Amino acid sequence: MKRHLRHFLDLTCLVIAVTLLSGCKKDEIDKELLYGTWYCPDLALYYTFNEDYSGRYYDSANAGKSYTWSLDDDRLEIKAHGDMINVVAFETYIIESLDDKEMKCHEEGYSSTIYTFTRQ
Amino acid sequence: MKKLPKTIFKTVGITLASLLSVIILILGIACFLLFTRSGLEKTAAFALKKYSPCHVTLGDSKLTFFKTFPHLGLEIDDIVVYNELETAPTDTLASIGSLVGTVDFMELVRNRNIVIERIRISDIQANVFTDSLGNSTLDLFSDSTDTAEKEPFVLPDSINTGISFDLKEISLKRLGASYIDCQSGISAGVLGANASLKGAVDSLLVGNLKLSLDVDSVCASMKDSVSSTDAIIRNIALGADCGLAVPTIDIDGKLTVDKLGATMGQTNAFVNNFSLKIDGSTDIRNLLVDAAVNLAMGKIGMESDSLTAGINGISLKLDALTGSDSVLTKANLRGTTGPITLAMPYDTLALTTEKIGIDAVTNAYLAKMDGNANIGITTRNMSFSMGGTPLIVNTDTLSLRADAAKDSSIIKCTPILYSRSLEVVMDTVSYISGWPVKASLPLVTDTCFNHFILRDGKLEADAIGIGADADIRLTDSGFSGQADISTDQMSIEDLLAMIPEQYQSMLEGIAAKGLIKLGISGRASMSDGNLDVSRLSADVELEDVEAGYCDTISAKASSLALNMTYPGAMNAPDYQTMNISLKSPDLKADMTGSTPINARLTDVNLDGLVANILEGIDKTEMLVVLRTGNTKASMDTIKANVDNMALGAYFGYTTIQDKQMELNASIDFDALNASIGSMMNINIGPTSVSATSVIDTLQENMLLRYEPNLNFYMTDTRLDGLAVPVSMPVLDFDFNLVKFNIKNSRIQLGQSDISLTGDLYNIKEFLNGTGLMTGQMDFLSDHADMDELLALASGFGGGENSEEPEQEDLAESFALVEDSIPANPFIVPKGVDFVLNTNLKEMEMNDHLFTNVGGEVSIRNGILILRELGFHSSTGQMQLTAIYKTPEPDDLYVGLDFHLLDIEVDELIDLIPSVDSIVPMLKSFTGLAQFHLAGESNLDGYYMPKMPTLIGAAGIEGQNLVVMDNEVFKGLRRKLLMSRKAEPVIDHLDVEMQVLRNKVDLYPFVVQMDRYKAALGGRHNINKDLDCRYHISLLQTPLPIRFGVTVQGSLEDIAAHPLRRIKLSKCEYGKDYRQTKTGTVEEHVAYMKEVIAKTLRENVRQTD
Repeated sequence: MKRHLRHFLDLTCLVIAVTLLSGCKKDEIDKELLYGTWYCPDLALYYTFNEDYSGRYYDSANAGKSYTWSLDDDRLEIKAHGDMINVVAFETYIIESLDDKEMKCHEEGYSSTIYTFTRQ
Repeated sequence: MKKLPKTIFKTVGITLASLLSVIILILGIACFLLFTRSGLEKTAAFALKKYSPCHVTLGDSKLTFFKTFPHLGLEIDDIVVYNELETAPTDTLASIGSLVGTVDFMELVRNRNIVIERIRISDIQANVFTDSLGNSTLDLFSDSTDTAEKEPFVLPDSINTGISFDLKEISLKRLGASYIDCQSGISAGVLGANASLKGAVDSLLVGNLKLSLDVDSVCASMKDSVSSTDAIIRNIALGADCGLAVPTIDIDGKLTVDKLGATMGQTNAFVNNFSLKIDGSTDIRNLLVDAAVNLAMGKIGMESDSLTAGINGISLKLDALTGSDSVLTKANLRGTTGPITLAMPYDTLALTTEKIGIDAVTNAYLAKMDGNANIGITTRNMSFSMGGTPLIVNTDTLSLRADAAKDSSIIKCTPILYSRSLEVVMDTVSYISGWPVKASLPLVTDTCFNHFILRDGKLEADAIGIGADADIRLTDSGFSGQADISTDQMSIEDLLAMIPEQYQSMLEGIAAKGLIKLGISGRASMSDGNLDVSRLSADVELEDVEAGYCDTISAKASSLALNMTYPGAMNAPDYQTMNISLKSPDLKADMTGSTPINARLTDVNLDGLVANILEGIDKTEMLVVLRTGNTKASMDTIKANVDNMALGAYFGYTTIQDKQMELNASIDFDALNASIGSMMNINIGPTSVSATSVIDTLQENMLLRYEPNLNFYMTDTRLDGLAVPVSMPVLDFDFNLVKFNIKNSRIQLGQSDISLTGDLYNIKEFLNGTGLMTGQMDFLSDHADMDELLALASGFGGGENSEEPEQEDLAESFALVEDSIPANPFIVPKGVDFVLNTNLKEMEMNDHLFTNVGGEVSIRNGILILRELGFHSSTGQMQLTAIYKTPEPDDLYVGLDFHLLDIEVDELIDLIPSVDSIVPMLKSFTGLAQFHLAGESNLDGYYMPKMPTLIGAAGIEGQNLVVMDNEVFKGLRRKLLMSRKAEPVIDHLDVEMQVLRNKVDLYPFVVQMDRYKAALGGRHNINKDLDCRYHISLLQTPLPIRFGVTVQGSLEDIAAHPLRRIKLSKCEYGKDYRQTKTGTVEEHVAYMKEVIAKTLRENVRQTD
């Protein structure tokens, strides 16, 4: 009996822990909020996110690269590719906040630098 | 000038002849009447009525004694001879106021012999008229002749008696005459003429006569539709004493004329004080004439609007002696003239001379007009000036000596003209100052003066000697002939000294010396004013000639011959050409100064052809070929030596495209050697280059403007003095705007040999923007040493002493460059479709030998692509694809895809040393690796990347990489606490990195060997400081400790403070390669590495 009680308590604690941990999960980011063009003054770049997961970043002189993007929870992955050479390169951002006007994020692995994007 | 006196004398002659005819007529009638008996009057009337050929009326006829005392005389008054010609202004042909004749009365009575002693006629007027139809008042004489023939005139028996002469006097007083010929427009008149003939001449014509004639004036005029000539002679006086003693006749006479004038149009001519004195004798039996003639004239002048000429007196003396058979044994002519002036106001031409002396000796056969003469003419202070360009010629003494001979139809004359001092001044500048001048012109001509031959003519003027030969024929419309003129060898210094002082300043700095000889030969004809030169040749021969300018430029030749010949060898009726040639055994030219230039040419032979030079520059063509046996030239430290060189050049206007200039040039030589300083030397073997250009001045593009057509062939070229010897066995190509064809080109650069062949088409269409330039070339090499080639290229780019700029100065240098130097990137041409196929059988680089290095370099639509350039080495192969395009000068693009497959790691590091910096431990490995690199970026005009467009990725893969030598490893294995089964092998190496904008990310990768395991990753920023952060986590060791090392900061700071920037830290990567701070990052990293690696591998071209 004592053994069963112990198993029960263990299970109860597990359920409580799971319940508590599940409460810590962030709110899921609405990817539709990303659609459109954003400007980051720190990078001096415009980013455009299209609904078909394509996009392009560019500077004020319209020099930039096309990319495809994906959003997995708060992880925004941007896969840029070459225009004539078959080459790809990634940049990933962890979105900290996103609304209609502003997005704050940092590069994956480099959380000390926060970038602020404003919708254009 | 010549026509006027001829016309005057002709007119006066006709007048005098007419007058003489009338006088003879009157005398005949008078004599007829004189010899009648007592019934003279009746007899005369009867005779006149019956036998006179014309109508004659007589006035009173009477015998007179007192008027003719002591002789009996017959006087008849008012004798009128007339002819009823309707068109004549008067029917009186002649009228005589009084005619008195005396005869020896006693002789008549005793011997019935009429001895005429005196005839006096006075108040005589004669009129001769011819109408426009040719009917003349003198026609009655021709009619009377016919009548006389029909019925011969016979004196009646009663008056048939003898006639003899014992003339004492015949006189004519107050004689007047007129002559009008409407048919020829001639009219003339004589006023106030008196004549007398006194003396004693018997019937045997022996005696002495004294003739005197004076005429107040003789006037004549001749007019037609185009000209008018009037002449007048005043105060004519003629006196002569004749001694008749057959067979000889002596004449001593004098003719004087006060003034002889003539007007022709607007020209007035006159002679004042004309005096002719004849003293001679004739031996009729032996046909000998010995005569002395003195001719003297006062002032002779001619005036018109365009000409004024005057001779202030002429005095001539002629002594002539003719022999039998019409041989003029000797004739001497001596004389002088007064000052002569000639002025043409309109042409401002003037000639004056102080006096002319004439001295001539002649022998002649008068029957054939053959003979010879020696003529001398001298004059003093002769001056000739032309006002248009004020040319003045002065000579103090001018003499002409001429030997002349006529033999049948040939006339030979050798005039020698000599002036002790000749001066030519033009526009106050003295061109010839006091030169002695001598000219000899041996001339042969015919009696019609249609053919002139000059042989060995010579002109000597100071230091100038000129010879001349000519053969000229005059034709009805002009002339034709040939002439040769040559000079003696003359000193150039002397010739230069003869240049007027006023122009000597133009020669300042110019020095020339040597000997010069000129020759000109030509054949020409003129017809109706059109000159046709059928042949013209000019020669200039120079010996020991030297020329210089300001001691800086000098030229020298031992001899030099220049020839110009017209027509040239290629002459045609509508294509006039002239040949030019220049020959010299040696030519030297030097220019001193800061950059001295010297040239030495031997066996110089220049041949040229000029065509249509007289037709205008747009039709002129010129072809020049210069050949030299040897040419040596040097400029500063550059020296060149060329053997058997031929330079050709052509200039003309093409007939294909109207009015476009065409230029051709060519150069051929057997060998050329050139050196630059003491280090660099160039040798070129037999070479031939020719170029043609049609110049279209409307085009702005240089190639379209000149439209070159080039044929280039060069062999056996060798360049010494560079880091490696360079030789070019052959370079053979043709270039024009239709096709650029490299037929053969091979170059040997040290150990490398390179060959380029192929074609380019449609260059003109490409330049015009109307078409696509296409082409294909093959770049081949049996062996290429890239290290040597790159070193050579580096040597070309900078000297050995050029210093590498400090790193810290690079950014500033770039900024300065961008500020100071305009961007001038290589722009890939659009409108080009070109492919370069490369095939290097062997390529040596970094001590590696690569084989079959080949690929395709293409330019299409403004994009330069190196497609799948690859090679094989002993351990691997390379694949390269590169793209370069230039849509805008400030927006360039470059892309690169590069693979080294199955290559030894050390070979990879040798080939790409920067790999060692990215993966430092790589050089510790041996084994096969794969290296992939791909990237692209847009660039600005200075080839600097536009950072937002920069993207790239690289990957290194290796399997079973050996770390170190097995024996060494065994010694370390125990010390490193490795297992006994440990091998010095890295099972797997998988490095991926990417470049995106200004970030270079090295994705974490793991290196594991036995009990050791480490992970490395980090980021490098491409910014001003080039700061980075790399971390190595020692994940697994035999010892229970784990630690990491972090390198962070700018490169400069890390180098300056390594202890501060390189720190021990905690491991950032998990034990089983998981980043510790985020749970799923390693999965993301693994995914991205896999995507990058997969993408890179996709670009690898599969080979057989």
